[in-house]
Amino acid sequence: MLDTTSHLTEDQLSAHLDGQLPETETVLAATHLDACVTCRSAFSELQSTVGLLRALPELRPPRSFQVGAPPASVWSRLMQWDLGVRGLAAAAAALFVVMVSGDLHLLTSTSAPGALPAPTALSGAVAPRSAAAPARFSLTPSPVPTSGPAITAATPPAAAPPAPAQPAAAPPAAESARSQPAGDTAQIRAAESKATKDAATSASDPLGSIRSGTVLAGVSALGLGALAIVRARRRI
Amino acid sequence: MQQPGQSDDAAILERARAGDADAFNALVRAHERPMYSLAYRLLGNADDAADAIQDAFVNAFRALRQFRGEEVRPWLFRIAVRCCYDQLRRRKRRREDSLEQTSGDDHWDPPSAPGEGPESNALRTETARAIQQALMELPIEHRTMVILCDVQGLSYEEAAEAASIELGTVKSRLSRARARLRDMLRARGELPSGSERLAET
Repeated sequence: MLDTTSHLTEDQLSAHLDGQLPETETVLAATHLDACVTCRSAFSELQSTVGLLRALPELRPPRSFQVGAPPASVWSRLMQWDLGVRGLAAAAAALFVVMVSGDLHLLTSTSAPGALPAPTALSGAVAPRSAAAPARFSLTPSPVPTSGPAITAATPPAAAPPAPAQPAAAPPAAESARSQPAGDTAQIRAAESKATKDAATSASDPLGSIRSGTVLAGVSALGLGALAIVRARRRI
Repeated sequence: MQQPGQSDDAAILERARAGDADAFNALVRAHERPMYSLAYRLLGNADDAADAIQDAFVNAFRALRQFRGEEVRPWLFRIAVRCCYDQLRRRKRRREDSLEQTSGDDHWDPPSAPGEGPESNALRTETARAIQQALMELPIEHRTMVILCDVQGLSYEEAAEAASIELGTVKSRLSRARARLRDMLRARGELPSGSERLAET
Protein backbone atom coordinates (compact mmCIF):
# COMPACT_ATOMS: atom_id res chain seq x y z
CA MET A 1 0.00 0.00 0.00
CA LEU A 2 1.21 3.48 -0.81
CA ASP A 3 2.04 6.12 1.70
CA THR A 4 1.02 9.43 0.11
CA THR A 5 3.68 11.34 2.01
CA SER A 6 6.78 9.35 0.99
CA HIS A 7 8.14 9.42 -2.57
CA LEU A 8 7.07 6.84 -5.08
CA THR A 9 9.55 4.04 -5.75
CA GLU A 10 10.94 3.37 -9.22
CA ASP A 11 8.85 0.18 -9.36
CA GLN A 12 5.71 2.17 -8.60
CA LEU A 13 6.54 4.87 -11.15
CA SER A 14 7.22 2.25 -13.80
CA ALA A 15 4.09 0.24 -13.07
CA HIS A 16 1.99 3.40 -12.90
CA LEU A 17 3.26 4.41 -16.30
CA ASP A 18 1.97 1.13 -17.70
CA GLY A 19 -1.29 1.31 -15.76
CA GLN A 20 -0.22 -1.81 -13.91
CA LEU A 21 -0.75 -0.63 -10.33
CA PRO A 22 -3.75 -2.00 -8.46
CA GLU A 23 -6.69 0.38 -8.54
CA THR A 24 -6.28 1.78 -5.04
CA GLU A 25 -2.56 2.34 -5.53
CA THR A 26 -3.21 4.09 -8.83
CA VAL A 27 -5.39 6.66 -7.07
CA LEU A 28 -2.83 7.20 -4.35
CA ALA A 29 0.02 7.48 -6.86
CA ALA A 30 -1.89 10.06 -8.88
CA THR A 31 -2.61 12.04 -5.73
CA HIS A 32 1.04 11.95 -4.72
CA LEU A 33 2.23 12.98 -8.18
CA ASP A 34 -0.06 16.00 -8.05
CA ALA A 35 1.49 17.08 -4.80
CA CYS A 36 5.17 16.12 -5.24
CA VAL A 37 7.34 17.97 -7.74
CA THR A 38 10.24 15.53 -7.31
CA CYS A 39 8.14 12.48 -8.17
CA ARG A 40 6.36 14.34 -10.95
CA SER A 41 9.69 15.22 -12.51
CA ALA A 42 10.95 11.66 -12.20
CA PHE A 43 7.73 10.31 -13.65
CA SER A 44 7.80 12.76 -16.52
CA GLU A 45 11.37 11.82 -17.39
CA LEU A 46 10.42 8.19 -17.25
CA GLN A 47 7.60 8.86 -19.68
CA SER A 48 10.00 10.64 -22.03
CA THR A 49 12.42 7.73 -21.84
CA VAL A 50 9.76 5.19 -22.68
CA GLY A 51 8.49 7.47 -25.44
CA LEU A 52 11.95 7.52 -27.02
CA LEU A 53 12.23 3.74 -26.80
CA ARG A 54 8.87 3.30 -28.48
CA ALA A 55 9.95 5.62 -31.27
CA LEU A 56 13.04 3.60 -32.11
CA PRO A 57 12.83 2.56 -35.76
CA GLU A 58 12.31 -1.01 -36.79
CA LEU A 59 15.40 -2.22 -38.60
CA ARG A 60 15.54 -3.94 -41.92
CA PRO A 61 17.44 -7.25 -41.85
CA PRO A 62 20.52 -7.41 -44.07
CA ARG A 63 19.20 -10.64 -45.58
CA SER A 64 16.03 -12.65 -45.69
CA PHE A 65 15.65 -15.54 -43.29
CA GLN A 66 13.28 -17.63 -45.35
CA VAL A 67 14.07 -21.30 -45.36
CA GLY A 68 14.96 -23.05 -48.58
CA ALA A 69 12.45 -25.61 -49.72
CA PRO A 70 13.72 -27.50 -52.69
CA PRO A 71 12.38 -28.25 -55.13
CA ALA A 72 9.23 -26.12 -54.88
CA SER A 73 10.97 -22.77 -54.67
CA VAL A 74 13.85 -23.48 -56.99
CA TRP A 75 12.00 -22.32 -60.05
CA SER A 76 11.01 -18.97 -58.61
CA ARG A 77 14.54 -18.31 -57.53
CA LEU A 78 15.86 -19.24 -60.92
CA MET A 79 13.46 -16.80 -62.50
CA GLN A 80 15.00 -14.04 -60.45
CA TRP A 81 18.60 -14.94 -60.96
CA ASP A 82 19.44 -14.03 -64.47
CA LEU A 83 22.83 -15.63 -64.28
CA GLY A 84 21.39 -18.89 -63.11
CA VAL A 85 18.81 -18.87 -65.85
CA ARG A 86 21.40 -18.29 -68.50
CA GLY A 87 23.73 -20.90 -67.15
CA LEU A 88 21.02 -23.49 -66.90
CA ALA A 89 19.64 -22.52 -70.27
CA ALA A 90 22.96 -23.20 -71.88
CA ALA A 91 23.34 -26.45 -70.00
CA ALA A 92 19.84 -27.66 -70.76
CA ALA A 93 20.17 -26.76 -74.41
CA ALA A 94 23.44 -28.63 -74.56
CA LEU A 95 21.92 -31.73 -72.99
CA PHE A 96 18.94 -31.65 -75.29
CA VAL A 97 21.09 -31.24 -78.30
CA VAL A 98 23.20 -34.16 -77.27
CA MET A 99 20.11 -36.28 -76.83
CA VAL A 100 18.59 -35.24 -80.12
CA SER A 101 21.75 -35.50 -82.09
CA GLY A 102 22.50 -38.80 -80.42
CA ASP A 103 19.18 -40.12 -81.67
CA LEU A 104 19.77 -38.71 -85.10
CA HIS A 105 23.16 -40.25 -85.20
CA LEU A 106 21.77 -43.60 -84.21
CA LEU A 107 19.33 -43.36 -87.07
CA THR A 108 21.91 -42.23 -89.56
CA SER A 109 24.71 -44.40 -88.14
CA THR A 110 27.15 -41.55 -87.79
CA SER A 111 29.16 -40.59 -84.74
CA ALA A 112 29.35 -37.25 -82.92
CA PRO A 113 32.38 -37.30 -80.64
CA GLY A 114 32.30 -33.52 -80.29
CA ALA A 115 29.06 -33.63 -78.35
CA LEU A 116 30.22 -35.94 -75.61
CA PRO A 117 31.57 -33.37 -73.13
CA ALA A 118 28.16 -31.76 -72.78
CA PRO A 119 26.61 -34.06 -70.14
CA THR A 120 29.60 -33.54 -67.91
CA ALA A 121 29.24 -29.81 -68.21
CA LEU A 122 25.55 -30.09 -67.47
CA SER A 123 25.93 -31.92 -64.21
CA GLY A 124 28.35 -29.25 -63.15
CA ALA A 125 25.99 -26.47 -64.10
CA VAL A 126 22.83 -27.77 -62.59
CA ALA A 127 24.04 -29.09 -59.29
CA PRO A 128 25.17 -25.82 -57.72
CA ARG A 129 22.18 -23.94 -59.05
CA SER A 130 19.60 -26.34 -57.69
CA ALA A 131 21.20 -25.33 -54.46
CA ALA A 132 19.94 -21.84 -55.03
CA ALA A 133 18.24 -22.43 -51.72
CA PRO A 134 19.99 -19.84 -49.60
CA ALA A 135 20.02 -21.74 -46.38
CA ARG A 136 23.06 -23.00 -44.64
CA PHE A 137 20.57 -25.56 -43.44
CA SER A 138 18.68 -27.74 -45.77
CA LEU A 139 15.10 -28.23 -44.81
CA THR A 140 13.07 -30.60 -46.87
CA PRO A 141 9.41 -30.47 -45.95
CA SER A 142 6.87 -31.95 -48.30
CA PRO A 143 7.00 -29.78 -51.37
CA VAL A 144 3.89 -27.78 -52.10
CA PRO A 145 3.64 -26.17 -55.47
CA THR A 146 2.75 -22.55 -55.07
CA SER A 147 4.24 -19.45 -56.47
CA GLY A 148 7.52 -19.44 -54.67
CA PRO A 149 8.42 -16.95 -51.97
CA ALA A 150 9.89 -13.71 -53.10
CA ILE A 151 13.47 -13.23 -52.15
CA THR A 152 13.70 -9.89 -50.47
CA ALA A 153 17.28 -9.43 -49.49
CA ALA A 154 20.44 -10.04 -51.41
CA THR A 155 18.64 -10.70 -54.62
CA PRO A 156 19.88 -9.23 -57.87
CA PRO A 157 17.40 -7.20 -59.91
CA ALA A 158 14.66 -9.10 -61.69
CA ALA A 159 15.75 -11.42 -64.42
CA ALA A 160 16.50 -9.86 -67.75
CA PRO A 161 15.43 -11.77 -70.84
CA PRO A 162 17.66 -14.73 -71.62
CA ALA A 163 20.64 -14.22 -73.85
CA PRO A 164 19.60 -13.37 -77.41
CA ALA A 165 21.41 -16.40 -78.77
CA GLN A 166 19.05 -18.70 -76.85
CA PRO A 167 15.63 -17.11 -77.06
CA ALA A 168 13.61 -20.12 -75.94
CA ALA A 169 16.19 -21.61 -73.67
CA ALA A 170 15.20 -20.29 -70.24
CA PRO A 171 12.26 -22.60 -69.53
CA PRO A 172 14.26 -25.78 -70.21
CA ALA A 173 16.47 -24.63 -67.41
CA ALA A 174 13.70 -25.25 -64.96
CA GLU A 175 13.00 -28.61 -66.47
CA SER A 176 16.48 -29.84 -65.92
CA ALA A 177 16.59 -28.32 -62.46
CA ARG A 178 13.49 -30.19 -61.43
CA SER A 179 14.86 -33.40 -62.79
CA GLN A 180 17.68 -33.25 -60.29
CA PRO A 181 17.28 -35.25 -57.08
CA ALA A 182 15.35 -33.00 -54.77
CA GLY A 183 16.93 -33.63 -51.43
CA ASP A 184 20.55 -33.86 -52.37
CA THR A 185 21.84 -31.85 -49.45
CA ALA A 186 25.46 -32.01 -50.49
CA GLN A 187 24.56 -30.20 -53.67
CA ILE A 188 22.19 -27.88 -51.94
CA ARG A 189 24.89 -26.51 -49.73
CA ALA A 190 27.08 -25.60 -52.64
CA ALA A 191 25.16 -22.53 -53.72
CA GLU A 192 27.69 -20.31 -55.37
CA SER A 193 26.86 -18.22 -58.37
CA LYS A 194 30.51 -18.33 -59.31
CA ALA A 195 30.25 -22.05 -59.83
CA THR A 196 27.29 -21.48 -62.07
CA LYS A 197 29.15 -18.91 -64.05
CA ASP A 198 32.04 -21.28 -64.61
CA ALA A 199 29.74 -24.09 -65.47
CA ALA A 200 27.75 -21.94 -67.84
CA THR A 201 30.89 -21.00 -69.66
CA SER A 202 32.02 -24.57 -70.03
CA ALA A 203 28.53 -25.69 -70.94
CA SER A 204 28.25 -23.33 -73.85
CA ASP A 205 31.46 -24.56 -75.43
CA PRO A 206 30.12 -27.83 -76.81
CA LEU A 207 27.36 -25.93 -78.55
CA GLY A 208 29.76 -24.73 -81.13
CA SER A 209 30.45 -28.23 -82.33
CA ILE A 210 26.81 -29.06 -82.99
CA ARG A 211 25.03 -28.33 -86.18
CA SER A 212 23.04 -25.14 -85.78
CA GLY A 213 19.85 -26.51 -87.32
CA THR A 214 19.64 -29.23 -84.71
CA VAL A 215 20.29 -26.74 -81.93
CA LEU A 216 17.48 -24.45 -82.96
CA ALA A 217 14.97 -27.22 -83.44
CA GLY A 218 15.84 -28.92 -80.20
CA VAL A 219 15.88 -25.83 -78.05
CA SER A 220 12.62 -24.52 -79.45
CA ALA A 221 10.81 -27.79 -78.89
CA LEU A 222 12.07 -28.19 -75.37
CA GLY A 223 11.32 -24.54 -74.60
CA LEU A 224 7.71 -24.85 -75.65
CA GLY A 225 7.28 -28.04 -73.67
CA ALA A 226 8.79 -26.57 -70.52
CA LEU A 227 6.71 -23.41 -70.80
CA ALA A 228 3.57 -25.50 -70.91
CA ILE A 229 4.65 -27.46 -67.86
CA VAL A 230 5.54 -24.35 -65.92
CA ARG A 231 2.21 -22.72 -66.65
CA ALA A 232 0.41 -25.85 -65.61
CA ARG A 233 2.30 -25.85 -62.32
CA ARG A 234 1.43 -22.24 -61.65
CA ARG A 235 -2.25 -22.94 -62.01
CA ILE A 236 -2.15 -25.58 -59.29
CA MET B 1 -0.10 -5.08 -28.55
CA GLN B 2 -1.81 -6.48 -31.63
CA GLN B 3 0.40 -6.32 -34.65
CA PRO B 4 -0.85 -6.12 -38.20
CA GLY B 5 -0.96 -9.58 -39.67
CA GLN B 6 -1.28 -11.24 -36.30
CA SER B 7 -4.74 -12.54 -37.08
CA ASP B 8 -3.53 -14.05 -40.35
CA ASP B 9 -0.94 -16.02 -38.45
CA ALA B 10 -3.30 -18.73 -37.24
CA ALA B 11 -4.24 -19.94 -40.71
CA ILE B 12 -0.70 -19.73 -42.00
CA LEU B 13 0.49 -21.45 -38.85
CA GLU B 14 -1.78 -24.39 -39.49
CA ARG B 15 -0.36 -24.87 -42.96
CA ALA B 16 3.19 -24.41 -41.74
CA ARG B 17 2.65 -27.07 -39.08
CA ALA B 18 1.57 -29.45 -41.80
CA GLY B 19 5.00 -29.01 -43.33
CA ASP B 20 4.21 -26.31 -45.89
CA ALA B 21 7.49 -24.45 -46.26
CA ASP B 22 5.86 -21.64 -48.20
CA ALA B 23 3.50 -21.04 -45.31
CA PHE B 24 6.41 -21.02 -42.93
CA ASN B 25 8.19 -18.54 -45.14
CA ALA B 26 5.11 -16.34 -44.98
CA LEU B 27 5.52 -16.34 -41.21
CA VAL B 28 9.17 -15.51 -41.63
CA ARG B 29 8.35 -12.58 -43.87
CA ALA B 30 5.76 -11.30 -41.41
CA HIS B 31 8.08 -11.49 -38.41
CA GLU B 32 11.63 -11.15 -39.62
CA ARG B 33 11.81 -7.41 -39.18
CA PRO B 34 10.68 -7.29 -35.55
CA MET B 35 12.79 -10.38 -34.86
CA TYR B 36 15.86 -8.83 -36.40
CA SER B 37 15.23 -5.51 -34.66
CA LEU B 38 14.92 -7.31 -31.35
CA ALA B 39 18.21 -9.08 -31.95
CA TYR B 40 19.97 -5.96 -33.12
CA ARG B 41 18.84 -4.00 -30.07
CA LEU B 42 19.97 -6.84 -27.83
CA LEU B 43 23.30 -7.60 -29.49
CA GLY B 44 24.25 -4.24 -30.92
CA ASN B 45 25.60 -5.33 -34.27
CA ALA B 46 24.15 -6.49 -37.53
CA ASP B 47 26.15 -9.67 -38.11
CA ASP B 48 25.44 -11.16 -34.71
CA ALA B 49 21.79 -10.17 -34.96
CA ALA B 50 21.38 -11.76 -38.39
CA ASP B 51 23.12 -14.96 -37.27
CA ALA B 52 20.97 -15.18 -34.15
CA ILE B 53 17.75 -14.72 -36.09
CA GLN B 54 18.79 -17.19 -38.76
CA ASP B 55 19.27 -19.71 -35.97
CA ALA B 56 15.99 -18.67 -34.39
CA PHE B 57 13.97 -19.30 -37.54
CA VAL B 58 15.62 -22.65 -38.13
CA ASN B 59 14.87 -23.63 -34.53
CA ALA B 60 11.31 -22.38 -34.94
CA PHE B 61 10.90 -24.43 -38.10
CA ARG B 62 12.07 -27.54 -36.29
CA ALA B 63 9.87 -26.87 -33.27
CA LEU B 64 6.81 -25.99 -35.30
CA ARG B 65 5.07 -29.32 -35.00
CA GLN B 66 5.32 -29.18 -31.21
CA PHE B 67 4.07 -25.60 -30.96
CA ARG B 68 0.48 -25.60 -29.72
CA GLY B 69 -0.02 -21.94 -28.89
CA GLU B 70 -1.99 -19.48 -30.95
CA GLU B 71 0.18 -16.41 -30.67
CA VAL B 72 3.18 -16.73 -32.90
CA ARG B 73 5.03 -13.61 -31.95
CA PRO B 74 5.77 -14.27 -28.26
CA TRP B 75 6.77 -17.80 -29.19
CA LEU B 76 9.13 -16.57 -31.91
CA PHE B 77 10.51 -13.90 -29.60
CA ARG B 78 11.18 -16.51 -26.96
CA ILE B 79 13.24 -18.50 -29.45
CA ALA B 80 14.92 -15.31 -30.64
CA VAL B 81 15.90 -14.25 -27.12
CA ARG B 82 17.43 -17.66 -26.48
CA CYS B 83 19.36 -17.52 -29.73
CA CYS B 84 20.57 -14.00 -28.91
CA TYR B 85 21.86 -15.19 -25.54
CA ASP B 86 23.62 -18.06 -27.29
CA GLN B 87 25.13 -15.60 -29.72
CA LEU B 88 26.33 -13.44 -26.83
CA ARG B 89 27.98 -16.46 -25.24
CA ARG B 90 29.68 -17.36 -28.49
CA ARG B 91 30.84 -13.79 -28.88
CA LYS B 92 32.26 -13.79 -25.38
CA ARG B 93 34.08 -17.05 -26.03
CA ARG B 94 35.50 -15.73 -29.28
CA ARG B 95 36.74 -12.68 -27.49
CA GLU B 96 38.30 -14.69 -24.70
CA ASP B 97 39.93 -16.93 -27.27
CA SER B 98 41.41 -13.96 -29.05
CA LEU B 99 42.46 -12.41 -25.73
CA GLU B 100 40.85 -9.23 -26.84
CA GLN B 101 40.41 -6.76 -24.01
CA THR B 102 37.06 -5.01 -24.15
CA SER B 103 34.61 -3.92 -21.54
CA GLY B 104 32.07 -6.65 -21.09
CA ASP B 105 29.94 -7.97 -23.92
CA ASP B 106 28.57 -4.63 -24.82
CA HIS B 107 30.51 -3.42 -27.79
CA TRP B 108 28.15 -2.28 -30.49
CA ASP B 109 28.03 -0.89 -33.99
CA PRO B 110 25.52 1.75 -34.92
CA PRO B 111 23.11 0.49 -37.57
CA SER B 112 24.34 1.38 -41.00
CA ALA B 113 22.08 3.58 -43.06
CA PRO B 114 20.98 0.83 -45.48
CA GLY B 115 19.93 -1.31 -42.54
CA GLU B 116 17.35 1.16 -41.40
CA GLY B 117 13.91 1.38 -42.85
CA PRO B 118 12.21 4.49 -44.15
CA GLU B 119 10.58 4.97 -40.76
CA SER B 120 13.96 5.75 -39.28
CA ASN B 121 12.91 9.35 -39.69
CA ALA B 122 10.63 8.75 -36.71
CA LEU B 123 13.59 9.53 -34.50
CA ARG B 124 16.68 11.60 -35.13
CA THR B 125 19.55 9.32 -36.01
CA GLU B 126 21.75 10.75 -33.27
CA THR B 127 19.03 10.20 -30.69
CA ALA B 128 18.51 6.63 -31.88
CA ARG B 129 22.22 6.00 -31.60
CA ALA B 130 22.39 7.52 -28.14
CA ILE B 131 19.56 5.24 -27.04
CA GLN B 132 21.20 2.17 -28.55
CA GLN B 133 24.45 3.05 -26.83
CA ALA B 134 22.63 3.47 -23.52
CA LEU B 135 20.86 0.14 -24.05
CA MET B 136 24.19 -1.58 -24.53
CA GLU B 137 25.32 -0.32 -21.14
CA LEU B 138 22.48 -2.09 -19.36
CA PRO B 139 22.94 -5.60 -17.98
CA ILE B 140 21.63 -8.02 -20.57
CA GLU B 141 18.64 -9.13 -18.47
CA HIS B 142 17.50 -5.53 -18.01
CA ARG B 143 18.18 -4.70 -21.63
CA THR B 144 16.03 -7.65 -22.65
CA MET B 145 13.08 -6.41 -20.63
CA VAL B 146 13.15 -2.86 -21.86
CA ILE B 147 13.50 -4.01 -25.46
CA LEU B 148 10.67 -6.52 -25.21
CA CYS B 149 8.26 -4.22 -23.39
CA ASP B 150 9.09 -0.72 -24.59
CA VAL B 151 10.73 -1.14 -27.98
CA GLN B 152 8.72 -4.16 -29.16
CA GLY B 153 5.58 -3.34 -27.21
CA LEU B 154 5.02 -6.73 -25.58
CA SER B 155 2.75 -6.95 -22.55
CA TYR B 156 4.27 -7.96 -19.22
CA GLU B 157 2.83 -11.44 -19.69
CA GLU B 158 4.23 -11.80 -23.20
CA ALA B 159 7.60 -10.49 -22.06
CA ALA B 160 7.62 -13.00 -19.19
CA GLU B 161 7.02 -15.78 -21.68
CA ALA B 162 9.55 -14.49 -24.17
CA ALA B 163 12.29 -14.17 -21.55
CA SER B 164 11.24 -17.31 -19.66
CA ILE B 165 10.95 -15.46 -16.32
CA GLU B 166 8.27 -14.72 -13.73
CA LEU B 167 5.88 -11.81 -14.09
CA GLY B 168 7.21 -10.14 -10.93
CA THR B 169 10.74 -10.32 -12.30
CA VAL B 170 9.57 -8.60 -15.48
CA LYS B 171 8.22 -5.67 -13.47
CA SER B 172 11.29 -5.19 -11.32
CA ARG B 173 13.79 -5.58 -14.17
CA LEU B 174 11.79 -3.28 -16.36
CA SER B 175 11.58 -0.56 -13.75
CA ARG B 176 15.31 -0.76 -13.01
CA ALA B 177 16.17 -0.72 -16.68
CA ARG B 178 13.95 2.28 -17.34
CA ALA B 179 15.33 4.21 -14.38
CA ARG B 180 18.91 3.54 -15.46
CA LEU B 181 18.17 4.49 -19.04
CA ARG B 182 16.43 7.66 -17.92
CA ASP B 183 19.52 8.66 -15.92
CA MET B 184 21.84 7.94 -18.86
CA LEU B 185 19.68 9.76 -21.39
CA ARG B 186 19.32 12.72 -19.07
CA ALA B 187 23.09 12.86 -18.66
CA ARG B 188 23.44 12.84 -22.47
CA GLY B 189 20.93 15.64 -22.87
CA GLU B 190 18.42 13.47 -24.70
CA LEU B 191 15.55 14.20 -22.32
CA PRO B 192 13.65 17.49 -22.08
CA SER B 193 15.16 19.66 -19.34
CA GLY B 194 13.39 20.11 -16.03
CA SER B 195 12.06 23.56 -16.87
CA GLU B 196 10.68 22.36 -20.23
CA ARG B 197 8.92 19.56 -18.46
CA LEU B 198 7.44 21.77 -15.83
CA ALA B 199 6.29 24.17 -18.50
CA GLU B 200 4.49 21.29 -20.20
CA THR B 201 2.74 20.19 -17.04
